[in-house]
Amino acid sequence: MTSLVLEKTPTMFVFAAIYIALGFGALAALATMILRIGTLLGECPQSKRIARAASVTIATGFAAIGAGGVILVGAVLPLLAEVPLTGFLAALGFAALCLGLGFTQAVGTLRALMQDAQQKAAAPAAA
Amino acid sequence: MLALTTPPKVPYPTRYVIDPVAFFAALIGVPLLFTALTFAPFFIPVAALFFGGPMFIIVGTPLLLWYQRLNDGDPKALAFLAFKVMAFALILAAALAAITGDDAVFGIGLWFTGFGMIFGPAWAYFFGIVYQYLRRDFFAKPRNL
Repeated sequence: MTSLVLEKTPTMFVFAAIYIALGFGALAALATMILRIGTLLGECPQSKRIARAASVTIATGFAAIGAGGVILVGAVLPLLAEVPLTGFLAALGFAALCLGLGFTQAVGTLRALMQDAQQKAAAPAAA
Repeated sequence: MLALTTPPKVPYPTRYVIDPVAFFAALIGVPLLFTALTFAPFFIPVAALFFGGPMFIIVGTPLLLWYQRLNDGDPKALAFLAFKVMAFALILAAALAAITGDDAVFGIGLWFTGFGMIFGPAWAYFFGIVYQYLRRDFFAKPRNL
């Protein structure tokens, strides 16, 4: 039993380490992109403050939920210790898929906030 | 002729932004809540939670993240979506059994999707109800994104 665990642990450990590095790397990259998009949207002086604050808020939420997701998907890796490469690739692919879809939602939220702010800014001028 | 000179305005497809808190609360909470409410009369829901719960989250997370962006999240539509997914999975299992010539694959597929066609739509229906109840007004507006 002990030898079985020792035989399997190195491969799985390497894959788990790569998974953690790549998963959190992707998460950090996407969160940074949200902040950068917020900065780009904030170049207009009128909407500057809203875009900055919203992007920081949304990037924080995205990072928190994404970290939870990456960790939960990573928790499945030991269950697939029999097939380390398949488990690693499936987990990483699933994490990347969900992070990408979440990123779309996050940027959508940012744009929706900007739209609402613009409508609110336009309303007093029209009235 | 009128249609040629003044063509009807083609509506840009509306998009919805997902409320992440309501989304994940409903996705994880609904199978648990459904099981808690129905397990007293019989024990099948508990087994369904153990076998189907992970499937619901694995398939549901990406699929609903995509689907809810394009739709308001009508419970009936979500239930039908879950049924379609289960039917597709059954076809996939049948095809796999035919290719490999292994009847056990079809048996396992039928076992999973048979219960899945009951519990998948039920969970998806309650997901729609709980999600629409929990989400904030900001996320309930259709938008042109």
